[in-house]
Amino acid sequence: MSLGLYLHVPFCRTRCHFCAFTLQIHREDRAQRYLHALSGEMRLHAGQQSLAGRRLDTVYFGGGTPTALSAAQLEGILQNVRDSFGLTGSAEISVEAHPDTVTEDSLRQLADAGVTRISFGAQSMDDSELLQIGRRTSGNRTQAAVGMARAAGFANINLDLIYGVPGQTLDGWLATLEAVLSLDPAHLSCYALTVEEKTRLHIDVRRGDAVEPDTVLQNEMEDAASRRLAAAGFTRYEISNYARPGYACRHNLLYWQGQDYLGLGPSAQSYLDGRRFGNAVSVDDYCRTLEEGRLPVAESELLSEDQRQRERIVFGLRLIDGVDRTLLRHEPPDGAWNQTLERMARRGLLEEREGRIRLTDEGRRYADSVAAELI
Amino acid sequence: MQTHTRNFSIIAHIDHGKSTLADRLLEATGAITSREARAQILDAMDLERERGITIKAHAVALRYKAADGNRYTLHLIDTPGHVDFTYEVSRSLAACEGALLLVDASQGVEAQTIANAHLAIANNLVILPVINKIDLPGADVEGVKQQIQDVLDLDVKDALLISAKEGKGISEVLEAIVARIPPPTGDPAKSLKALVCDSWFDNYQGVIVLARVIDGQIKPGMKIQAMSNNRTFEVMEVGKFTPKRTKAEQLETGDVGYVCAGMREVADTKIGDTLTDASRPTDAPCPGYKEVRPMVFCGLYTTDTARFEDLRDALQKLRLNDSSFVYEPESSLALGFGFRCGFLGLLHMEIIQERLEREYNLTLITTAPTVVYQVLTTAGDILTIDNPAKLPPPSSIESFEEPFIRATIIAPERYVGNILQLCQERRGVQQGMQYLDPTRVMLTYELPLNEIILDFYDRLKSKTQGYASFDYEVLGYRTGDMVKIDMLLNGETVDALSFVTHKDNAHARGRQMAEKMKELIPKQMFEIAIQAAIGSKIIARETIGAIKKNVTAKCYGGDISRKRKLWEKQKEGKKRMKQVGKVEVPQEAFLALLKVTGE
Repeated sequence: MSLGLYLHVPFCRTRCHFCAFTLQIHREDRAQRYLHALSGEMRLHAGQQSLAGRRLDTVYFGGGTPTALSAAQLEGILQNVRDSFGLTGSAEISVEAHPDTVTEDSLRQLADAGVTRISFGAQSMDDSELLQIGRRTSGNRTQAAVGMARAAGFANINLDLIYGVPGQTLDGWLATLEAVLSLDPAHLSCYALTVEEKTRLHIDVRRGDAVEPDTVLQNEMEDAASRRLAAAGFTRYEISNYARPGYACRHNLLYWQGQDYLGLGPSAQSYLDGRRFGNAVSVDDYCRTLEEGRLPVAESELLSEDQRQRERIVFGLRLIDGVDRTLLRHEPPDGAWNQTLERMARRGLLEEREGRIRLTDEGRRYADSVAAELI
Repeated sequence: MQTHTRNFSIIAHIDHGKSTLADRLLEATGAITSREARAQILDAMDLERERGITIKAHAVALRYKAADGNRYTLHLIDTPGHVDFTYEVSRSLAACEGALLLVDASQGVEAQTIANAHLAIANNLVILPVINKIDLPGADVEGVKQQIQDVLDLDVKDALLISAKEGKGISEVLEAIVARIPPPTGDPAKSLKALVCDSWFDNYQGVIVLARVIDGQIKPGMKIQAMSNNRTFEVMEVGKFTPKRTKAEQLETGDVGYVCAGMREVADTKIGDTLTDASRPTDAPCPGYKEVRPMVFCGLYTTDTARFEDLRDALQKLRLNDSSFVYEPESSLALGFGFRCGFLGLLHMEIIQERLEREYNLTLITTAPTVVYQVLTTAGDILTIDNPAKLPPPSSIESFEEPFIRATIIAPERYVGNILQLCQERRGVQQGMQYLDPTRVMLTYELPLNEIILDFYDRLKSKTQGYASFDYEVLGYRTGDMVKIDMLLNGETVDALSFVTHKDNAHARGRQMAEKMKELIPKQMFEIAIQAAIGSKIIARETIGAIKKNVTAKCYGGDISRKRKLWEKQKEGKKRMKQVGKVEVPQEAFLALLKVTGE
């Protein structure tokens, strides 16, 4: 069983219109308090029985914008991680970054500190589309950032993209794809824009100031991306993720494969030894609890064997390769796996091939509906 | 002794104080203490107490020493207080010589007062007007007297003025019962003739019958015969309620008491039946017996299809105690296996449903209630239709007949406009309008029962801010220009949603139903066509667009718990979905749709 570590860095310079993640606008005093709390959290976890003797296969700095912190601060965290938990020799260490928050020097410092993978939130290469979603940056900045990362020695570079942005056309999306392909990334994440509750976008849509994403167009965009990226040598390995051979994100795979991971930072979630637990969501609650010397765990649930197995299946089905048929060999207490599978196969949502069960192209569009049947 | 026996009922509109007066009479005669009275002895079932109505009649024997120095036995026969149970009320009244007509001094005569008084008059009872709540600030004793006189043509010169709550005027009531209600006639020397007023099922002794002995006596060991079906039984025990069940050696002529005779189900002797001596049957059974026929039908289904057998058991048990409701298995494409059940009326239906849910822990889906139609086919057959889904196609229907009622509505004058409008909408024809006093009006209307059964009473209440009272009697069948509307989902008829309506309303109702379905049925992976149709003719159409995708774009460690819980919830919800073809219809949507059928 692999073990990963997720670190949530809850700071950004501004909040984008679509973002529902836990974060604060970056201020140095807030960052200092957070770093202190995070260090305390690592110390408390390092002593836990369940982690004893296990080294980390992956580390993932997510956010927020991890690079809202200085490279030195990130380096400090990483050193603390090594001291507290230990890393395997080939550990994947990812850092999410906003193109505006990096320099060649800072990227070089991260590479030197052992970071192996850099993931830029590009979202779009079209400046007017970026403005639509509240990102005051440009395609040129992304291009520059990728260049600096390469110069700093990064080979494993990811770009996050969003499609279905208000005003975006299929041609606009294809243009963004061409622009990012010219930057030669190793990995691409293509997310359909989703209107999350309590986001600026949600409010705008409700007020009629923004148009809800057109799901038919998003489906076309998804198909177009899938075709274009395949032609460019990328393998789609998850609903929203594409990689050149050997560059699938090992950390994210942990989630879909039901492996163990520890999450640190406000709102971070963990899955260890069949127990799912999550931290306090607000940065303030998170820091305060740690300042009182306690872990900021807000909820915790031990899963039954049946629940674990069902999770393995429904989250495993997000992978293009699907799940091994043998995962479904035990009839669950409420029975009727086979009936459900057959029904969904008849509806063209699932298929079984070479001992694996997969979503079809059609089924991937309804992955959540399928999951709700199988969970 | 027959000459020292008095049999009477209390008839009143709901909330006019019937139970309180009954308690006071029990207390004043020493049958119960005031502490016991708190429980309002006569209304045994929870449901009755909650709704403030009496469903099952019981009779209490009171010992009373009158001012004349004699000891009397007073039998107080309680009557159900709702329009659905008119027949039962009339049979209870037939066991009496007199009735107390109880009217609230601040409310005046209401619709039920009139309906019940008419029943008492029809049974030739001596009626003693009793005006209650005379010490309330709003009491208008003279006005109420005037109403009783004007509307019911009763002599109010000796009306009794009481406050049951305060215990005022109770002894006067008891004296009046003795003095003004005649003793039972009837011949002790004749062969047994006893009227069945009520019956219920007891787990230990089987059916217990409440009977009024008209002639002769009844005692343990006798072979008796139920004259409606000629079944014979051996009497095991007789007695009275005082209000505790108290055994007696025999019931005399004029007595009202219980009889246990080894009957297994209440259907063995129905209300209104005559019990007689099997070896020496009476030559004339009690008049007025009739088979009660259910007036309102609906389908009952368990939300969890696995509990079908539990529903069957529960219905069987309830029927032991209530022979007036009927059930038989039916199946619906949309709802699975269930039962078509017939009830005396809407309240009766609600009571049975509530008892099934409460006492048997079932969760039910009820299809829209329907009246019983009589349909003449082009082939000349007469069909009795209690389920719209069973109607023949429109082309083979020659004519349609539907039951009509005569409704009495009493309300303050300021609401008359609203009531006329409501009755008009419901195809009513006005028969009369009478002022009870300068501010209150009594309206009589003939209305199709079909227009009443769903929500008429609720609408009446809301249009009159709760002031209107309503009662009705069934008139019989009349020709009506009715059509059946089917609702279709992607071309498949949802049998449970079919309904019958008057032709003039058909398009509006079909469209309304289709719109409601569009609102209530969630989008699915494919487009859903909703249609309302009369036969093969489509009269309304709506479309529910398809969901084009349902997938979490970004699903990482932080989402897993949240998503799993969401999906678990959805799956749980799906279990309660009903499948119509490929379309999944949530249970809540069904319930909501079955409600709108009547609007």
